[in-house]
Amino acid sequence: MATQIKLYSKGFAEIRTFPKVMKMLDDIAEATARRAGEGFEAEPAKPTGGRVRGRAAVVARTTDAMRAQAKSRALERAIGGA
Amino acid sequence: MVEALTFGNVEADTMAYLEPLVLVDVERVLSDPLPPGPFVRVLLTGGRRINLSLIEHRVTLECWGGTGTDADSQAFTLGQSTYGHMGAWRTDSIWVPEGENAFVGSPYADVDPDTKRPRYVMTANVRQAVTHL
Repeated sequence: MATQIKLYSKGFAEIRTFPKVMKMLDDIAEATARRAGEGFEAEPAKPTGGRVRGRAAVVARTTDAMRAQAKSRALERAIGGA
Repeated sequence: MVEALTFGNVEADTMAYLEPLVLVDVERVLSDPLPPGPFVRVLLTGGRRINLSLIEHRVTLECWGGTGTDADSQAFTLGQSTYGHMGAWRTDSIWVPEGENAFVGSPYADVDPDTKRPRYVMTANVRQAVTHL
């Protein structure tokens, strides 16, 4: 007899936004902001629209940080661990 | 016996791969003054060791438009061309993985704060296999 699997798709969204997952995203964003340097700040993880995922961000808050991003790709380096 | 493992220069390899395809200068260090025409800048921005014999580099590519009135469209066209060629890079020892792992994100528009020249920027994941000494 064939087994049928019915996916509970709402559950995937719940897993993707578990408090533990959001905390992990916050930790990654904060570490990335620290590596990127002064003027970069982590924004706390929030659930996205659509497929509902957790998403944190790192933003350049100061002119110096914006310049560091534009001239030497500070965020790419920070994500890549350089 | 200890065997030495070495990896090639991913920036140099990227430059050598791209230059004949995009038909503009491909540089690593920005020259002073900047070239007046469109060009690509290659920048190694990090990466990770996947296993003993494989590294995944993050290579950031800045596609600069020239200084004329069509600088914006030059930068865009160069960005699209670079995006396509990098995504199709497959050789035995160096390659860009297929699908969504090819790039960190799609190309984004960016302006150089000093010269105000338009650029399209992307970061590719370039995998490189070991070279035995």
